[in-house]
Amino acid sequence: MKNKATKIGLRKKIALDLFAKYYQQKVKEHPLDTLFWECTLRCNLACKHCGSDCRKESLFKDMPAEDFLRVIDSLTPHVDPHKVMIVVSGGEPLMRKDLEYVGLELYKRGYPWGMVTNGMALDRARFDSLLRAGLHSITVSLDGFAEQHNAFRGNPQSFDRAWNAIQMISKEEDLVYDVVTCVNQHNFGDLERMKRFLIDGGVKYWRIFTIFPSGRAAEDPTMFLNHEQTVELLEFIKKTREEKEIYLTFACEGFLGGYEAEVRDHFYYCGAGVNVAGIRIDGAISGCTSIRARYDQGNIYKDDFWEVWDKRFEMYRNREWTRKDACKDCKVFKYCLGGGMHLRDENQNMKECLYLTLTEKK
Amino acid sequence: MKTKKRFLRFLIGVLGFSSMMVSCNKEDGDGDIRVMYGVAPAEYKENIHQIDPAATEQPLIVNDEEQSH
Repeated sequence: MKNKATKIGLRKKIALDLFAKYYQQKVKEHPLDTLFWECTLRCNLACKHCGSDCRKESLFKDMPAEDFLRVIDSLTPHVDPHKVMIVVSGGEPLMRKDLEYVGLELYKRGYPWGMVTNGMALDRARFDSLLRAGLHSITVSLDGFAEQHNAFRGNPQSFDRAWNAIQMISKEEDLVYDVVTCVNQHNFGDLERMKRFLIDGGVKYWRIFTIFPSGRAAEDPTMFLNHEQTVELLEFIKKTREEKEIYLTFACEGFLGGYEAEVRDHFYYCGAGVNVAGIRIDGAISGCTSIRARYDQGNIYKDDFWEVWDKRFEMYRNREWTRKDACKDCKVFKYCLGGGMHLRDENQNMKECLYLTLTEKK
Repeated sequence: MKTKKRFLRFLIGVLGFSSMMVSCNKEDGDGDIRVMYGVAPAEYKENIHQIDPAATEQPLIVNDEEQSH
């Protein structure tokens, strides 16, 4: 089906070709600039769309802080710490009482650090203690107005708590932040209203992503947008960016054809294993923590992190293995290289292709 | 390699897509761009938010019941 996604103008095509070359240089260098730490799989909510299937209790114990800091110390001689962002993820990071301890230790070692949170446990006292521990960046999830957000999150207070957290955060100078919204069938119709709500509430940075079939979300088809809605969503983002009342961007999910360069600040590429690494709760060394298939390259309890990062990650840095099935003869393969690693299952098959959703009416 | 990346970035800029090639919203001398994964990348800042070296020595105000919703 013809639409903007299928048409890539000549100028953009040349830029994408050049960017593909740029990406190959990046692969050769693989400069680590983002390190995820899955610090817990415990969560104070049980969201319908959780990609990690987290709950209040987890089968896995939290990774001891010292184990993670040992990895950081082994990494430090090989990188400029100021240029490696440590992203604390979960589960819900605020479930850990020693988060400030880890944060301050990271700060002392020269690393900027940030976290993704649902905001439930982020009251003024906790926020202040995180700031004193050197928090540099924070993302809070808000998936719609109270009715939808609370329904997704399974808690009647979750919207109010998240919104209070956002209000606090957005007023803090020197803190990089954004609000992230997972768009799905239930909140799709509220985007305009939500935009106005965020702007009126003083929020300046907003990021949108669509659900991908992982964790609990994979079990609920109402979570996914159809072709028309996906196109409409990108048009909404494009228009909002032009209005410049709020800075809105689409997440890193997939190649967007003609929408490339119009809904986010960078051309699409999957940085997993190229400039992004993750340490999972059990010590596994992987790409980003959105990748739920076990594409682990080592384990901090057995291997030296830097050795793994520098010498392994072959399947992340050479994506030729993804050139099969729908990707085999795809004309945009050279730009997308089989899509994000988080969209591949245990058998290396593609779970979802955003470009196909955009270009083919299903 | 950095020179090649910088050159490619320059060409992409000439085509009118320079905004796609910035790092943390500013030029990066190494020719690298920073993309948002999980959280927005932040530049390291000395003494950000009046760092309190004793922060972790103080008992945290964390209410377990509040956390366990």
